[in-house]
Amino acid sequence: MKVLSFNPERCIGCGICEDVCSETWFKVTDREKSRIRISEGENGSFSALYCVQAGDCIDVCPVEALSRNKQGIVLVKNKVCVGCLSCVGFCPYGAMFYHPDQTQVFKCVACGKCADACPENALEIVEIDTPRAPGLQV
Amino acid sequence: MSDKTTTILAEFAYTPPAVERGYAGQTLYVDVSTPSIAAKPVTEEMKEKFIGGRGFDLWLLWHGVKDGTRWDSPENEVVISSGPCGGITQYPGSGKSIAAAISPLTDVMIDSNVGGHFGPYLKFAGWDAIEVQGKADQEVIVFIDAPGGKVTVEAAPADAPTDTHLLGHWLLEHYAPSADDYPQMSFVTAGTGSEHTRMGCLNFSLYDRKRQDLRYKQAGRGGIGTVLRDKKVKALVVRSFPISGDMNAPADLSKLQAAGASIHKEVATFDPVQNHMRTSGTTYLVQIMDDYDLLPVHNFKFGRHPDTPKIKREVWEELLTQGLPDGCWYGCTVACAHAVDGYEVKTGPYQGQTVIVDGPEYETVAGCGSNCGIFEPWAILEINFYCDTYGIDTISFGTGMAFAMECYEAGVLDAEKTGGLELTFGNAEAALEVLHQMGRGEGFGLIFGQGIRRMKAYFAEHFGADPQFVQDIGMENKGLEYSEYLTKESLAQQGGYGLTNKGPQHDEAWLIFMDMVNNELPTFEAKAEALHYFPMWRTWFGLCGFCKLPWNDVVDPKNKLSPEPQKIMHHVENYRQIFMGVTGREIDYDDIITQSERVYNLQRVLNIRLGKGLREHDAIPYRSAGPVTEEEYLSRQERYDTQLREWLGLNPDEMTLAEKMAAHREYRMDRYEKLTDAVYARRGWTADGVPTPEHLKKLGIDYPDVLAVVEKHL
Amino acid sequence: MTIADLLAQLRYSFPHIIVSINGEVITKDFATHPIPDGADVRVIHLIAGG
Repeated sequence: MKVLSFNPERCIGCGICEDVCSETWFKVTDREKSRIRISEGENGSFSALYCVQAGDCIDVCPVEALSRNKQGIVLVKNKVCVGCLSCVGFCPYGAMFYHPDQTQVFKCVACGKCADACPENALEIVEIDTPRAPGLQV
Repeated sequence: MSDKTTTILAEFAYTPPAVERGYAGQTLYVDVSTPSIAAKPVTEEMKEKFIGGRGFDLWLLWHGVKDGTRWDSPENEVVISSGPCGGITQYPGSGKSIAAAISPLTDVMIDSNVGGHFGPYLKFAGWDAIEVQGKADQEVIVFIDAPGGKVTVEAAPADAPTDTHLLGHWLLEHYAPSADDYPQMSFVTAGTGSEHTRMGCLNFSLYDRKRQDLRYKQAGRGGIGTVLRDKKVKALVVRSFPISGDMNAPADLSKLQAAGASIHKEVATFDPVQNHMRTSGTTYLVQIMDDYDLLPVHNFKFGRHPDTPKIKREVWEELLTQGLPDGCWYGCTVACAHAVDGYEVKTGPYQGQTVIVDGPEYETVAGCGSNCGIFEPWAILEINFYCDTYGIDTISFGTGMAFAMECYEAGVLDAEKTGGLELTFGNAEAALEVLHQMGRGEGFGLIFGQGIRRMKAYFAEHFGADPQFVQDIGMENKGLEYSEYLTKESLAQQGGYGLTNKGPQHDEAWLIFMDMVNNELPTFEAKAEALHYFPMWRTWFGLCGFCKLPWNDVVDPKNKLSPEPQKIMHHVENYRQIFMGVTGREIDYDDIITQSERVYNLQRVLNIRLGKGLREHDAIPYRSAGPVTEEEYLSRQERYDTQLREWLGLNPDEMTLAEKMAAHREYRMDRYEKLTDAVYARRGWTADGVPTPEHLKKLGIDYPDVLAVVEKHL
Repeated sequence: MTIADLLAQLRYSFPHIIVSINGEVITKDFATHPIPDGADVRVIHLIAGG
């Protein structure tokens, strides 16, 4: 399946990926609406939160708003989602997001826009069989 | 598919209002006698003082009934309301309905907190509460059709079944326009057992999208199902709109989201190592209660049994279907509402049918299991299924059956008096036959179905029973059967059961560990403080539309280091945030308690108005306070003898067994009276249990008609 | 003796338990945490139930 891969050694924390993501999906520049979240650790290195398409959320959803498509990407059906945030609490990676401007949750669908825009090539879309925690996938 | 053949007897057209900040702004009044239908406004005063849910139920009942109203009076009402936070999806356990009526068992108001979709759907259909009054002269169905813009009272055709598992499917077929509407439908039903007993329950349906079938949660306590059937109401049906995450139009969604995301994470992290609610519901308590000598065994005689492992959590985890999101409302990750799928019914009229059995919960396992000496999971499932579909409360059935079985073993009953049933402890087949008799309305089932209080009187009058003995062992208070915890060694919990508005149901307070195990409540005053705070806090769940379980059945271990860990203040804070986020009303922790106190005290006054609600009605059977029989005393002789030395300065070696038992009885009943004094004083009541005018004034509920009730008792 | 040994001996199977040893609150590793001889051990059960 296609997933986003993040190389912490290359990331400089510029936040362009977050801006591009929120602009792509919400038409605004707002980190709180990004589907990838970069944070700085104590030692100056950066880490990323984003969906690795593990799918642990799918069975937690009470209304079957989460499903995996043929490409292996876990998708949220906005018309079905009741905004209960069960998936937010049960995602082992903290990669399901929410914002008070809407009830529905949102997540990375590996569209690759952030990878295209990353000036340091810290992000790329890769093809893998089994996802790991957010980070390098190969 | 829709196949309506019913006759419309009354119709009321309306445009469903938009819900704002948790309120639809009106309540639905249905008189099934006339029949007639009306809308009543929800006033700012109602919202300010009574919040919703049980508070609205109480307010409507207070104005709907008369001083002499009894359960079967036409003016008695079945009232259902969820509350302003009911129907939010972000926080577990936020879809509760609170059903209320004047109870056939207690003659005072009963309130029962129940899951399922009805209460929230009712609100989203435009009604903060429904009030059903009167008695129909034929079988009727009340249909609230929000998309259709009307409420109707319809004659139920003769082919409409009564037992819930059949009626639910019939209602889906007849009232949902298409299968797409199934998730938007919810029903309140009872059953044939409700018709023939005083312990009828209400079933609240939810459409389970994964199973593509109906499930039910029960408003079990106090016989509200009996009241519904007495009115000849077969079902309340609501058809609402497709659900979304902002149906309540909250003032500040972000507060709900923050609280929700945090609690779901706690559930995901800690439930698998704490109570395992997500795999086995509340059954985790069975073995724990046995470990602490608190599991009711053989009509509350004992607190543990060697066969308890046969009905412990792990057994149910095997039987319950796993891996489904089993919340009784959207977003409940605590998900205690499990079910056994594909259960083949073994006895009675539905023998051979394959059904879904909802539950069982701890109360059912303990009440219909260990308390009756029944340790066979199949029998508990079978009883659970039939109680639900007949519309019978499993707690009243279990505790009542335990009483009947002890009466049988003590010779009060025999096979002749029971019509051939050998009601010995452990005889599951006989217990099931009594249940089927309750469904059919015949035999010993009719006597049994009147509940323990009336069985006591009947056994004394007709079977020559010693009135004192049956009073001592019959575990009821106010006429309601006890729920399933042993209280002999916890004075505070004896008060938690007895010093109540509706009777011995543990939803007011559960203080056994604080009191008995931790010894954190060493004085009467400390116990009284706990019997003020916890009942008020727990009342609040029912005002808002919440479930109690996510408060304290899963807890971040960091709570252990907080100043008052028993209160779990980080969860209380979640609830405060949600209330503010939905209603836009700023509140602090004291406001929460005051909101509950208003409802609690007015409910007390309603009980007084109905001729009860005084100190004498808070008395408890001695079985809940100490050992009634020699067998009980001897089973814990070392403990009781030590207590005689330490508490009373007596030397048990120089006393006969009868003297020792009498000394215990005098001491234990006396300290219950002392506790009663302390609790009443803390609650702002007189020594007779009457709220004082000053206290009512302080709470802002010193209405003239309220004061007129209490002034007669000062 | 460890905390877990003590709890098992008392049949204290409830999951929400606080243990303090000589006034110090212990929140984890009950299975390996030793109880010194003569220590003041307090076990507090948090409510649940119902």
